[in-house]
Amino acid sequence: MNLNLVLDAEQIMLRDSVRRWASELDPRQAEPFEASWQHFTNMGLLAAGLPEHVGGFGGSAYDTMIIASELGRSLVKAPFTEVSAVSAQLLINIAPTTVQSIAEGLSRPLLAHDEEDAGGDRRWIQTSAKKHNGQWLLNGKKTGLVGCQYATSYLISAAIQKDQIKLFEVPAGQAPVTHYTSIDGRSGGELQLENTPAKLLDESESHEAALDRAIDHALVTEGAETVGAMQKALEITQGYLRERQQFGQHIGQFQALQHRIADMYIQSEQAYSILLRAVEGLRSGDSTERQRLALGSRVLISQAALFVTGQAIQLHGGIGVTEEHTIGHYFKRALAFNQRHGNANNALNRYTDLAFGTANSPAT
Amino acid sequence: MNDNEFRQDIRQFISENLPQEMAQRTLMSYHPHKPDVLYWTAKLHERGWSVPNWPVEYGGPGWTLRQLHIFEEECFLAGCPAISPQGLTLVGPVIYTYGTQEQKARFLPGIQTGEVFWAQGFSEPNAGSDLASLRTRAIRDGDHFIVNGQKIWTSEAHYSEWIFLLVRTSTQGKPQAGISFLLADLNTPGIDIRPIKSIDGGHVLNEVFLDDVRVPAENLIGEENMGWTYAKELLGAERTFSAEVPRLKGMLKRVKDIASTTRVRGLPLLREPGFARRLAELEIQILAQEVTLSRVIAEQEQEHTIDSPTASILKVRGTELVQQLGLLLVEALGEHGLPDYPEDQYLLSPPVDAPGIDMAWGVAADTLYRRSASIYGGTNEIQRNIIAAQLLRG
Repeated sequence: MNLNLVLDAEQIMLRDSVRRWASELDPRQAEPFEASWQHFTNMGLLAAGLPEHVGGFGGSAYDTMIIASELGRSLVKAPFTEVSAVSAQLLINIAPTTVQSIAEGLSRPLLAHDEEDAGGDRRWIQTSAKKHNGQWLLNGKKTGLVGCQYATSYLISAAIQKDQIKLFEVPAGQAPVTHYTSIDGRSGGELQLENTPAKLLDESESHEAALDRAIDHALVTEGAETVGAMQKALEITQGYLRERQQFGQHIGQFQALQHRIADMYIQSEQAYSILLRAVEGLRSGDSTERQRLALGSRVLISQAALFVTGQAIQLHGGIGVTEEHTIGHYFKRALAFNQRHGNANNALNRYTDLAFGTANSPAT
Repeated sequence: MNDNEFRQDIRQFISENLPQEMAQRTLMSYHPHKPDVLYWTAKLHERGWSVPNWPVEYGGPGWTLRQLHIFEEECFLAGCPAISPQGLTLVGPVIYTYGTQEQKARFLPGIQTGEVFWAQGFSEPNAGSDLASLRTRAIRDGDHFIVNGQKIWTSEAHYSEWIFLLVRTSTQGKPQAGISFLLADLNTPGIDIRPIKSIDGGHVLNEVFLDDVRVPAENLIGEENMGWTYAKELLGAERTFSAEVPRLKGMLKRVKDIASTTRVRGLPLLREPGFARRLAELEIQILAQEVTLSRVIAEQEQEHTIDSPTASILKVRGTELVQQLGLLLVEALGEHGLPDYPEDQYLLSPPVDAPGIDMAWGVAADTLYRRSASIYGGTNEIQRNIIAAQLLRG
């Protein structure tokens, strides 16, 4: 274990520059998308965590973690993680020449992998692909597409036969998407594939390893966003306990609330710690270890985020449940985080299977 | 030397020097067995490792904090008897930091060789969390202090040679301002040590009664009425060791070993999804705890002053996890978790007709005794006060 335990000067600069920009935003609302993406591009954020040979800046997964954390602090809605951490990491291995346009802010492919009955089982793919007159056609349904309003294309996992998974691309305009707004105010959607023509990304390679890697990047980088969000919720609550007065004194004088915020802090710090371990896992050559740590981080970060942001509302009292106050929006983000990719409950099942050989998920 | 080479060195030393039956005895996790501790500390002393956290000038090996934690972990997992902490981590550093040349020359060698055991006389029946309210009185009488009062929860006092005491030398000003730090020979007339049997049935705790005990004034550490400052510093400096990471790893291994052996309807318990899930949750928490410890060490090594309460987390989470793992350990024993395996019958010569399985020896005793972990060294509630004070100041 050789973790990046303390941020170095460059990392602090990166953190501060993203924070400066993001702190101007209103966490209660979706920020203007085009301007944000332009900013990500100009600041090099989209390229930061990508290797140089595909057009990135050669930064590490820690850089991506720092950026995602800062965006999470301000509840940024744009799909930074989904595009530059997940899709780009997927394409590095199966279509490297397409990554540069992501880094340059020109394309935003979105991974469409989750399905409604999968429960986080990454091999549960009911979507099928069959070849008809030399054209691949997809059938099935893909869920949980955060950021799909801004997608330029979809990277879709589908079974070409039993136990053989491939990745296909469908341009956004040709994909039948049902759009919605997620509980945390983001663009979301579902893909309804009915004989939808698609391009096979790479005919030669097995895509399963690349897909696993991308999913682990999704678990961990979304985790970084969520750690940033809970740290900010904690800070807001610290400020509130210092200011709010009841019974003639600051409510932070009450030991019941002191111990509550101490517990929030403990959970938030442990969440950051497991995040560091999982980010290191992304750099590991051992895919089982990488997956186990990604799942472990999902479990702990999700539990911590729901606790911290839920108690943040509690300590704010009535104002905490208003749409007007920002604090409740942090809880919404934690709740949405827990729902994605099969939720933390199923992540724990998968972790347990990997660690102890149980069979909560027969397919893994 | 990189960390892996360092770890290998430690492992090799242990495998060449630690008798197997001593390791097995220690891994049962009953209370320390003094002859084993004496033996092992002497071995470490020969190798120059008996005071691993001390500066080189006082006999320390010059390790980094990270190496020190690797050493602790390897020793714990291999079943090395733990060096008695009262001398090593509590009074030793106070003596070499605040003691006179004479005091250093007189007291440090006994800790280095491990031959002199120390007891900590801090808590009193009415001064627990509110330690500064302590009332054991020391009144100057020529070149002696006359000490009267009572100390409690005094680990290992019954086989220690010396005790370090917090005593009240003044009743002026704030309670903290009238406390002094005094060393006393436990053979001094007027000292009466009575055992306290803990809920595991073992004996490590004691009450110490002090009745007109004459302590030479040369045994005062530092200045009179400054004892609180010294005590606070010694407790603060050792916070990373209350993270309990070696113990947690050892317990995790133990629960996996047991749950691979015990069966439910013919299958190993470890394969039972409900049990495995709860173990997995604890394993994830331990992973996080280990990283938090590494973060605190890295911050200390880079000499970034710890202006965050991160270090206070370690004690709270470490002890909570120890207690949760303890419950899971007993549960993992299944039907074999029910018999009592008392330390006085099982530590040295276990009965040949013992019930259950021998993996069960010491499990419940340790789980019972570790209820004290969230109480000693500043209760977890006091720790939360400290964390909140840091979060809410300003």
